[in-house]
Amino acid sequence: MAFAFLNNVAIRGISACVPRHIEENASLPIFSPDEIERVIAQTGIERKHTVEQGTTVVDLCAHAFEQLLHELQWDRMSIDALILVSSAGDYITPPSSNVLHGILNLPETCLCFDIRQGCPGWIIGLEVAGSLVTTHNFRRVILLCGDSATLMKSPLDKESRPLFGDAGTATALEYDTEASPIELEHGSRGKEYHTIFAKAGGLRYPTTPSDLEFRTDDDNMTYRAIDSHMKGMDVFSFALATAPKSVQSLMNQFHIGMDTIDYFIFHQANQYLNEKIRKKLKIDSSKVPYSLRNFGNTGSATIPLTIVSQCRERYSTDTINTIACAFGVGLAWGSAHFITHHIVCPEVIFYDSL
Amino acid sequence: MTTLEKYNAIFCNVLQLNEADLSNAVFKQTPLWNSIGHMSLLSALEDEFDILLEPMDMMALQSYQQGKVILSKYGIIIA
Repeated sequence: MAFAFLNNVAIRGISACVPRHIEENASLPIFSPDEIERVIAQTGIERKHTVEQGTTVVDLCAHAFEQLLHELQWDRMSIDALILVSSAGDYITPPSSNVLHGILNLPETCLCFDIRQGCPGWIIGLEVAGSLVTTHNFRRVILLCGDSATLMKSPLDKESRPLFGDAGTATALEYDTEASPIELEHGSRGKEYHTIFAKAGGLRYPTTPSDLEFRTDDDNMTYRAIDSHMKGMDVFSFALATAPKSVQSLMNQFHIGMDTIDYFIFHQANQYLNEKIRKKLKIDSSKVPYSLRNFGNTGSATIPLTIVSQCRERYSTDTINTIACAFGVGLAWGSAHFITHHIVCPEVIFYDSL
Repeated sequence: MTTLEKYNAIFCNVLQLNEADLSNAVFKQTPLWNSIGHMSLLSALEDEFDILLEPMDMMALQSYQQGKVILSKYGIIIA
């Protein structure tokens, strides 16, 4: 287990932006009415906000950033670092964080870099962003997390299509000697990297014309070599094995009592899996909010999106003691414990395609 | 209803199969038995027989026949 704690780092605000376009699972042509009814019942996902061609996570995160900066009343010239966590960039090179730096008119003194991660990304990003702040070398850091995952999935993949939506989020961190420590736990299983896998399009397997053709594999799943595809039951097994253990280890390591926690915010994978994790940890359902129903699985955005869409009023007005846990691509996982005080947490905003 | 009738009804309903085809139902080889179909099966079995399956058993339930063996560990005899 890799544990960490970060002193002097305050979370000041969280914002989220989703595309206005909605894909209703009940209308997906790849399912019969009976089948989709069961899919919705098990996943808890009725609809997702999905980007249209030409929109990417850069657009969604840019809007989330602008909203957050406005609500915080921060001068953009005071931003010392911008980090983007996402599964894929707009271009092979440069990093999308540099593209965003230009779009957002950030100062030349601002450090920018990408972290290429999916579902576990907000916890990993919090670790990295917080590490910059804790030393006071960087006073204000914005962590952008999100994905336009629907552009990376096969529209014919029955295991992915009903699950994934798109979102961009922004989390503002600031140096504060009064801040409660942020405590974290991380882990990886690199030998299982192929469990969630897009084979073609990188340097190992550059895209060829045949990679653009749909194929049906031995498991009856239809996708292209360029699509991100997951072995659903392997992910299920991995999550059940690691997520409860990660949360429990974090609480043991840092002597955190279950009763002291206001919210356990889990990565939004699917309702059945998440409920298994909750029940294994014996957490009361009132402490575990879900955003799955209207947003689905939005990769590294799910934790901030759940905070903003389900709990914004309490986070805005109260001191909130939170444990967050995320798991997925890598395979990797992580948990974080943090306390927030009246953070800026505006309503979810919608992105209209141009 | 006997436990066998309940068990068969779950598989028929979730996987859209006739009873005659049940004995050949296998994870990933039966059209609707993908990971989401698997969760539907697990959920229906847990609800019907009032049990909570352990993760290892959830993964091991790879066929109609194996399911009977797994449920027997929870005191549910399918007959």
